[in-house]
Amino acid sequence: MSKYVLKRLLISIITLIAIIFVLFIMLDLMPGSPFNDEKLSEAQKAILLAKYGLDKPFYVRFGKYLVNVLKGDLGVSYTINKNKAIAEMIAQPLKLSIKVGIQAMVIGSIIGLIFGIIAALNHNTWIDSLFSVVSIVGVSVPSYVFALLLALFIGYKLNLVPILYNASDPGRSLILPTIALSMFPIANISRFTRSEMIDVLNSEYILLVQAKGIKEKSMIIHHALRNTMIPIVTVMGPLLVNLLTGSMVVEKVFAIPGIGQIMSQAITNNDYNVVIACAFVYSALYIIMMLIVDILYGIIDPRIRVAKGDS
Amino acid sequence: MRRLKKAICLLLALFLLVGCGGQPEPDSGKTNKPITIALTANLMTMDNSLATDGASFTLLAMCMSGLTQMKEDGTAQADMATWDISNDGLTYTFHIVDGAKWSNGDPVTAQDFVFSWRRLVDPATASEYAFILDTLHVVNAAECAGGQLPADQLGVEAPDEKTFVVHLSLPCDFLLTLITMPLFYPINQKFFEAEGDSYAQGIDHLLYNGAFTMTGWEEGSTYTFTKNPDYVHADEFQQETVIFRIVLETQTAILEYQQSNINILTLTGEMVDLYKSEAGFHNRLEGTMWYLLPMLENEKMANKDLRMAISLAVDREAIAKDVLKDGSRAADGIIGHNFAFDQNGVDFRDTAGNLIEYDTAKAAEHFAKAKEALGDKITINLYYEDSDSAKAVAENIQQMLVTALEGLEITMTCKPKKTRVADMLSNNFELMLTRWGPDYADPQTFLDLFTTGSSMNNGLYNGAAYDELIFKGTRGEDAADSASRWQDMIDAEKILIAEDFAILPVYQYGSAMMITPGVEGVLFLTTGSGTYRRVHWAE
Repeated sequence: MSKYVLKRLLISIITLIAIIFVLFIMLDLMPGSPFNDEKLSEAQKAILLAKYGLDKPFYVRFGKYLVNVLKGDLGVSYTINKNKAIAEMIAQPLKLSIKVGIQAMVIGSIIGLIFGIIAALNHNTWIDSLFSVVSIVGVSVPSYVFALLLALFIGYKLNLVPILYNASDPGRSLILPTIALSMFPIANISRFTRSEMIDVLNSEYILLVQAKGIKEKSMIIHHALRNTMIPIVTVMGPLLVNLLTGSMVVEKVFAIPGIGQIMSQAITNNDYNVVIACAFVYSALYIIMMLIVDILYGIIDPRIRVAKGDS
Repeated sequence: MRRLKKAICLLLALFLLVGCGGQPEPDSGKTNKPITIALTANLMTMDNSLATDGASFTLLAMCMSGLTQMKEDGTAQADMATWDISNDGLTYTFHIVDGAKWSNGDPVTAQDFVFSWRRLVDPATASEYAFILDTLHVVNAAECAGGQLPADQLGVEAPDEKTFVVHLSLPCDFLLTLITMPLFYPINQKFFEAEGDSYAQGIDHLLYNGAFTMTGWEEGSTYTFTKNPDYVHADEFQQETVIFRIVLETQTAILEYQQSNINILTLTGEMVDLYKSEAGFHNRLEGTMWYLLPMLENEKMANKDLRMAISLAVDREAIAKDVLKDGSRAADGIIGHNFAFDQNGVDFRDTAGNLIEYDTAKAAEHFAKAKEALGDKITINLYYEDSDSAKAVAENIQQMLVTALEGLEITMTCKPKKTRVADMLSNNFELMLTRWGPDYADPQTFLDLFTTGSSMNNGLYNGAAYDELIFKGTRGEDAADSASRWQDMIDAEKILIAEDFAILPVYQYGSAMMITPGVEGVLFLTTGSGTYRRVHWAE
């Protein structure tokens, strides 16, 4: 197992370097620069480009960036938070986005699983249809709309919880964004759970379990659910990363100073360093998630571990 | 998708308007209750030499003070200093007022201003506003900004702790208002050097000499300002706490406004109609002008009849009143209304009059002439940025032009602002919808742009008579005579807009705000800083 993890880690690092390389090329080809303000003279632009080392050839910039990243230095922001160290600038927002994302994921997974199991156990009944409608609505309605509806009804009309994020009361002020973000995983996971569960319940080993007279509750938890988990775990990894990256609109609605806001500002202001840093962080998160998912496969289903020759 | 989003927004807004209990109750006599202001853009820097954006200028003006400050009528009044002007208008002597001090107890000295002004112009600082000292005609400013002279050769000096002297090469009518900008605020050199790279990176990495001190800084979220009892004019300020919240989504800002959690916010286009009859609604006409910029070295746009036809066919009134609906006003020239005033206090626009005509019949006549030269089918590309208002305006202009001018085809290019500006600077466009936000309340801030050789003359206009008038008024024989200089500006604008049609002004930008009844002191300035520094609850 450890050899396998080590190999995966090595591949992950190479993937990350490749991602930074592609990002560098893409940003190099983008029209404009962080400093194409009407008020800047050519001489001033040259000074600014020299100050940040942007006048150097591509390979020099790329090499220097890689060396700095290894030292934990992601450079400084050019425009959106002038001269601020990016590592310092994104640390708190990233923590906040991850917190909201994980909260939404946990809630989404639990409710999604419950909904999926209930729908599968009541296959082809009105309950199944009801949950199908719920999951279709959850998947197709954008989180932006959920966010605004929650703000309007729960935050404003009922005045139960704050609408805007408040650093001194993060618990209560993150309730609405967490609910808004959990809609998509609820819908997605309940759909997957339902269809997998129906498949598993129709399989022969479940028939055997039933024939052995094992109680339904025990059958579902110990036999059916465990085998349902593999595809669900597969979607959960990318779903969590999507929650972090896709929380941009929800962050905007609830004024959460998260990484999504920084990323969107950096893109519109051509703040290349910040764009690369955010994309690097997103990619790293994604790769780590996929690694965790792979390891989880082995834990959930020993057959996979055996197949990889690492029993 | 965008339309769907808009429709949902409007529905929600309408629902909110119908369902809510009306306006928040007016508050009064609550100087201890914070006033919360929603900002729609993030803070970029608190380093006054590097600031370029509205949010940074707004927050800097809350907690720091320059030599002068803006009054509501757009004139300057003393802040850190009183002043004398020499008879020839070339030497400004500022006397630092007694009791002016920094938040660490150090006195504010003339040397703090010398250090800050030199830092602004020093190429090593790489300030985007390094050029601005040359606009003021400060001696050697252009040479220092260009690196030909060291920054210590800038025409400013501090003969003693309390006296700051500015030497000009030419008189400057707008110096006292322009230096209200945070760029000209002082910097305590000792503190700055001790801070190094950390300078202005947090509340403890700044010194304050203004009406408030910054007591809370939650990156990207909340910035808190508390009354500074050591501010030299502290007795004029009642409000204890002002909070700025970054809220990018107007929908939620409105909900918070209705709950009295936010007291001041800016409305976006589609919301204006819904809220314009509410008690807290205010319109604010700003100095920014939007205009169509033709690329004059392009074969088609070089044709004056075509430019005239375009100008005559655009109904500016409809754009301001029916499309934008946010308090924007149809342009009468490139200088806006209520923006610049002569020595007798008369609005430039009132003297210069309306230079823009809307007449589709005349437009068709000129277009017919243009077709004789350019052929029966003329295709022009209209380039604009991807903001909601720019899109709406560009699409309406396209519609107006193709309806009024038969045989004209308008293709559209829409790109993000940074990309649009890059293409504008490299003269890569045919007709561009662009804007200019003025730095100071004088026609020169606009008219300088279009002189031959100006780095911002991106339509490559080459008007000999225009250049001559601008030179005469800003650096030549009329520069020292305010009345003649003013007349030169009026004549130059007429040539630019009504004779050469070198640029086609569209509208003067206006914004709409909601202010909780009971909150007073918002300065509705067309230019300059300090909009919110005097906010307070009514007695």
